[in-house]
Amino acid sequence: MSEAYQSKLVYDGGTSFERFAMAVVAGAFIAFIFAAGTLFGWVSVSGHLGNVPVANYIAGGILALGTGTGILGLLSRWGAVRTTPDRSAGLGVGVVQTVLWLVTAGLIASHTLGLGGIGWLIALPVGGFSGYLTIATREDVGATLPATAFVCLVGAVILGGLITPAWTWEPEAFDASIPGTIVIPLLTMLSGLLAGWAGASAYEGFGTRGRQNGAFLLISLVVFLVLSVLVFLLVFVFERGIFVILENITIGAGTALLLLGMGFFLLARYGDLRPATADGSDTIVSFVHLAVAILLALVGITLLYTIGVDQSLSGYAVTIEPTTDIGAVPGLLVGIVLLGIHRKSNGNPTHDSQIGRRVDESLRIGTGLLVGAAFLEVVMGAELTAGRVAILPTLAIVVGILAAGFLLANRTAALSETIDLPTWVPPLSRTVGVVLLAFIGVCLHVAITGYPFSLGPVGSITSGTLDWPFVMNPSQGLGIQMGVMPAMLGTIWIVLGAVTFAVPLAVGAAVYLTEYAEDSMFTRAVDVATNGLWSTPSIVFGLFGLAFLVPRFGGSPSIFAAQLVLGFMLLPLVLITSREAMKSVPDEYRDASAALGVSQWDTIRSVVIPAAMPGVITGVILGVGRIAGETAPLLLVLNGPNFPNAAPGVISSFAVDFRLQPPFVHVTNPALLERASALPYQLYAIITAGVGADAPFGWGTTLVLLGVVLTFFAIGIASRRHFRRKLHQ
Amino acid sequence: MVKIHSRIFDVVSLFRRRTAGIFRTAAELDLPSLVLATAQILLISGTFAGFLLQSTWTVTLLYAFLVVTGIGWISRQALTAKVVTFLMTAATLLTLGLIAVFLILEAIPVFREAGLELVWPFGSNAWSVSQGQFSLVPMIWGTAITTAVAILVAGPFGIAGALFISEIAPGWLREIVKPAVELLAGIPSIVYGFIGFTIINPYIGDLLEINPGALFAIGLVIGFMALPTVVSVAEDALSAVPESMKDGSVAMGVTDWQTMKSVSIPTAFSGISAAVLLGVGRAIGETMAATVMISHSRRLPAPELYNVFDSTETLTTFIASSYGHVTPGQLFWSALFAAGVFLLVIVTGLGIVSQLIEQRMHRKLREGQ
Repeated sequence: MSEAYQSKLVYDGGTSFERFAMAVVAGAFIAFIFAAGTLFGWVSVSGHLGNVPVANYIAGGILALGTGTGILGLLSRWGAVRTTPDRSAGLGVGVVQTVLWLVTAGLIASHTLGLGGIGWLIALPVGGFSGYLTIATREDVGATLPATAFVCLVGAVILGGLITPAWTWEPEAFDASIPGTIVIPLLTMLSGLLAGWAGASAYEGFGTRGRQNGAFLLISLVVFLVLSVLVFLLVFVFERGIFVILENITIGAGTALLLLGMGFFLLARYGDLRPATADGSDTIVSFVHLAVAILLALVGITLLYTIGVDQSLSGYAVTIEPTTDIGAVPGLLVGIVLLGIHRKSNGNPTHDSQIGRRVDESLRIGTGLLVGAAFLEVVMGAELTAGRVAILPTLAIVVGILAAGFLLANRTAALSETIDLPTWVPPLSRTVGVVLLAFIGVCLHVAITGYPFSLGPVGSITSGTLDWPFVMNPSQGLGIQMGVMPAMLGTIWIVLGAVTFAVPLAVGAAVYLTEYAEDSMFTRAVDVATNGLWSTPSIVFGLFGLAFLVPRFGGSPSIFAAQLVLGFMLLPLVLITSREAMKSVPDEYRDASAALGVSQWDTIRSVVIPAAMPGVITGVILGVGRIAGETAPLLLVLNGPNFPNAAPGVISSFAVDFRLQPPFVHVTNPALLERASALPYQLYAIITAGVGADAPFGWGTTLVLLGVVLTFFAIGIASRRHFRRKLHQ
Repeated sequence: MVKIHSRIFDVVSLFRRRTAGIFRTAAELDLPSLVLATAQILLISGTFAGFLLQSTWTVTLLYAFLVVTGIGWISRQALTAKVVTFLMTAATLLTLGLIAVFLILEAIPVFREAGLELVWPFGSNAWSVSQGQFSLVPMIWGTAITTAVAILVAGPFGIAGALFISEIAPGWLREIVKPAVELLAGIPSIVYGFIGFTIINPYIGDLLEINPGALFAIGLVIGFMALPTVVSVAEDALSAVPESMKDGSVAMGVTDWQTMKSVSIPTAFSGISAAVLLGVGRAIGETMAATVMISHSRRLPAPELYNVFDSTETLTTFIASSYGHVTPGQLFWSALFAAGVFLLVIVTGLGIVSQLIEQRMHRKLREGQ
């Protein structure tokens, strides 16, 4: 929209003619929605309402709409209403009316009157005449009366019993019987569109403004329809799948609280929780953030209450155990995420006093020992003990308590105004980091050794506080609830492989194309190839993998082939976005770097790539979203069992061995060369098995797949929005 | 004739200049750099050749390349970076070439056996492996019908959506609609397929008393899937129209809708047609939703060719559903790749053409400024 004018210069209130036009538009809209509702089966056309068939109500409504439209036109033409119609409704409207009447008259003459092919000959003049009438008369008549006639005709046909819900039309060419229950809603929708368009046009008094109003109404309706299909689809899948996914979940309240706490913290850290200070579309975003935060807090309070009264909470097949235990793996996850955020937001503190330096040094030694012990345990895969004392937890407790002490002292000093801390007490950011590290160490210890760990009555850690059958079970086994574990791991491995293969290639190529290459045949060829790859159908990639990759990697479909094929698909997606990101790095950056005497490569490495990184990462996230849901190539190059009973053990089957034959160093991984499943493939497998009793499992899988893919998309879109906005500031 | 001569001369001289440039660059390098760069390029070419020939030396060559690159990274980082990024760019170009070559190679046997019969619409048009009849006509026709229905949905709706986002919607609404349309693009096709198989197919089958897999229903679903592509490409084209042109129009006292009709849409027309072309490509190449919904009967629709309530097979569903029943080397196998070649040529071609149209429009708009 041109921004040259934003508001009307003159506003003269609403006249009764305008209000009447508005009523027609509203009526048309209601008719349209009602008809759509009957298509979805929410309202039955064939029923009765107090002895009168529903179809007759519909017909009455349509007749009223048609009459209303006609009255609008007549009032404007011969009434006392001041409108601004043009001399003609225009060629476009004329053509639409010609086609509409041609088809209507043709169908009536050839089928209802039984004239066959001759009927269409009769229809020709009817269509031509109505088109002529539309164009030749003044706009207010041409835009309303043919529409009125059609809408009234529809109403009369339904009311007169020519088309009833029980009526069927069996066109020979189509070999199908089209019942009245679908014809009536479709005709109603068409009538609604016509009447609504005419009414909207009349509302602005016809003329150019009227036509604009009519056109905008139709376009907005289209967008509204598309968005409602999107929302309907998401809600539908969610409603069908959510209880399948949640079935039989058992979670410890402590673990749940920990996860919730992390969510809350992330929201508070990165979200905008103050709608009052935001403006524009940010207001909506911050309202959503605030609502989520409040929800999290409420759930957290419920969990605390559960722990307090020591009663398990269950509903919708979900059970929350009132334990304060925290699962090792969730704890590890939360700890790592929090530590990552913490490290990113703090610099290194400096110390000016002798004792401060010493305290800092000892903390550093403690954390160093902790990390070393943790590393050893990971490598050995067993507990590290000295005598009868487990080293890692002991270290963690000592360091953790020390740091927690400092932390407490710091907080108290910050809260009260009288206490002054000695300067050697390490700052808050440092101690928080150490406490988190200790926490991670303990979680890691429990996760590896499996021994429970407890510290007083409050916080204790064991493994196995979370049981989520749908996500943790294989899809086949004796007496188990079906789950998507193998498919999920398959998808994770395939996506990881594709990313490691394609992202370096794509980013490298983007660097060469934007920084080194001059415009030449070669770069143009690469451009064409990238665009070609971008639009190549996924099934063609699958065929390529089948012909080229599969024979070279073991001769049967495998995870590795799938990784490479999806990598090839990811390549153009990441290449295009990375190139755009690098192109949008301002030339001033490069010039400034060159002016400082930095070489071209160092400029690229330390200026261009860091500046383009957000764009590249956004591209990778969106690309991953797209390939994670890709099924067609997987049919050809992955093709695993329909219901796998085990997940691929990729990590455990790596083997390196040295021999005297080429290639001398043999890196093998049989698990990578096996067939497997993936989330979209699992869904396809359910369909090929005929759905049937597996329908709930199918809906659950759909929801998980949709959740995974759309999360990637949502993050990608949000981060792009964020960084674009930053760039334009 | 003279023109061709001068053109050839141009190309030759350009090529000579380029070669001279490469020699000059090579001469400027010191010996170790030259050796490293040459070794890297030779080794990776060797790896690629070994991979193509399925040689046992492939991995060894790859190791050698990695080692040389490692040495180069430590001693001549800038040069190594340039060589490696160049190789990566070449790999992108190579990918499309490999796809084309391998598809065509596998498709040759069936072309040799069936010849023009494969696509000749006035023959028997029958697909029967047991009788040695290989005709892709039913699949091509199925693709044509579903694509036509799809584009009837995606074209008007997509353009309307693009107009809404770029011209009509107020700022706050645009910020909701645009991401929503992008999110729509993210819904995997198998999800549409699952809904189509469990909900739409039975619904339409019951309602119209037809067998499941109506081309019409598949076309609708595919059209809805191609919609986001059309919207975002057309929206790009519409927002590339300079604001000054629209302002000029509005200054004449016309309405927004008139400005759109007579300024925005004509200016962005090539971009919008590129969007529709891309949508057509998406619809032709769409696989999963159609595969699970269609009946896989490999015959032309009856009783009339345009019976959209009947079901047949499309090129993509043909490939997706047949794999698993064939073994490499059979004519059937080869026919799958022939279908793949058609898809590659048509869809990739459409993608490239639409991209070129779009670039031309942007260039013209820039020149006009």
